Amino acid sequence: MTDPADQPLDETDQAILDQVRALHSLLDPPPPDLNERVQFAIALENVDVEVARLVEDVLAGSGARGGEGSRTVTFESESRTIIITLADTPDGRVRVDGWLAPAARMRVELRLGGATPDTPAASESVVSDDSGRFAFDGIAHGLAMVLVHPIDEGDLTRIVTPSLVL
Amino acid sequence: MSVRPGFAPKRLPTGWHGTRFVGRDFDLRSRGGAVWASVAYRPTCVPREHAGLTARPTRTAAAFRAMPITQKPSRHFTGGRSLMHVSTDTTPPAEAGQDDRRTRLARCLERARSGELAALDEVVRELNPLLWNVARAQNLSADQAADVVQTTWLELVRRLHEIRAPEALAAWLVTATRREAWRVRTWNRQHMSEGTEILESTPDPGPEPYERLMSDERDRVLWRHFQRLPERCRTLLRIVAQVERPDYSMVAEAMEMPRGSIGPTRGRCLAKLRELLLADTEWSLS
Repeated sequence: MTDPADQPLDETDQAILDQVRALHSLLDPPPPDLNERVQFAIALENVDVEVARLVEDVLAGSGARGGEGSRTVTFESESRTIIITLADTPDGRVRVDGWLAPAARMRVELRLGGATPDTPAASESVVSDDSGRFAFDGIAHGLAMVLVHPIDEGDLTRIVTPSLVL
Repeated sequence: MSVRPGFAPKRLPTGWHGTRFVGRDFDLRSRGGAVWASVAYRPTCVPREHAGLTARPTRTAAAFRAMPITQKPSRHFTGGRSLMHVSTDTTPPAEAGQDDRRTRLARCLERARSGELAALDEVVRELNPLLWNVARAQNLSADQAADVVQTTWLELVRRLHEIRAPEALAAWLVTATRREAWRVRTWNRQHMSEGTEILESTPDPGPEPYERLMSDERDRVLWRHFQRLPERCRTLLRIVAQVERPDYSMVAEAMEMPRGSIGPTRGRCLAKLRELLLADTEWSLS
């Protein structure tokens, strides 16, 4: 029995499908930085990780995403919730205040994409306090992701978030 | 557990996309998106006999070091008998088509499994447009769809060793994307009524803002009639349009439909659209 899906389309149908594809590419293309964001996010040293999903991305105050004001992003993984608040500072940089729940002292790494494709990525690490809080100051706008590592079990990444644009 | 030494960002040189289109792929691109142009750029995970043209020597040094010596492309093409017969302009034969692509992607996966995660970059470039369309077809906002696609890739990295059939990598990714999209939709439904502002959570903005983007009258006519189709048809045709026929199992995954009903449904949806278009004097085939 032949599956109708395997039958070749006639020229008209094929032309219509081609137009449908072209139209969607025109009207709703993937974001231009999607490949870059994915490639940045999956460049991991250790793949034995929990993936934290972005569950909420909320603006406080004025401005749109990427504009002025502060933004609170919540990620959830199997073992922990990671909440970060991003606030623009007057010097044109970003302050990141974060919180791990359940609270724990862990090494929190903020990995930053280079400003240009040729700039190497940078990374900053802090240790969260007993209440799970951590902060980064003077962060440049751009691509970033959070990685959480245990302090006492070698240096293996435990949790990774998708990348976001600060 | 695989460990890739060091962290090296992997970026495409600026202009990469604009300069590597050759042959029939240029045609695809000119039709507005090269979304499935599997040989549009010089692939990395090519079979051994094509090894001489992997030639992206500026890939991460770690990736380069990780290659077996026999596979290493010579940066200066100064020797190496195995490279002598390879033209640097060759792309894998187009007629090999989808099977060739599937094999190549499976090979990328195997390399990633052996610790060379950079081999996934090629898969990302190639399958992102499809995954994007799968996520968007689930009525997610653009931001949410982008997050879903990213999360899907992170899940892939985490489950690299669980994929039993490497040649089914694309289908696995499509399924994972659909599940992630579902998760987000469910979350949307549960939280949308709480009064918090959820960014850009509205689905497609409807045809009006799109009007500006369409300079071509034919596009406007097509869009108008396309919008009249049932949602299921719109979703199916959008995804079918991204995929070559032998890969319809992916469409079945994306649509949660049996493989066998993709053909008849596609037929009905296309027939409906075709009827609307042919009845419209403003529409033309070419």
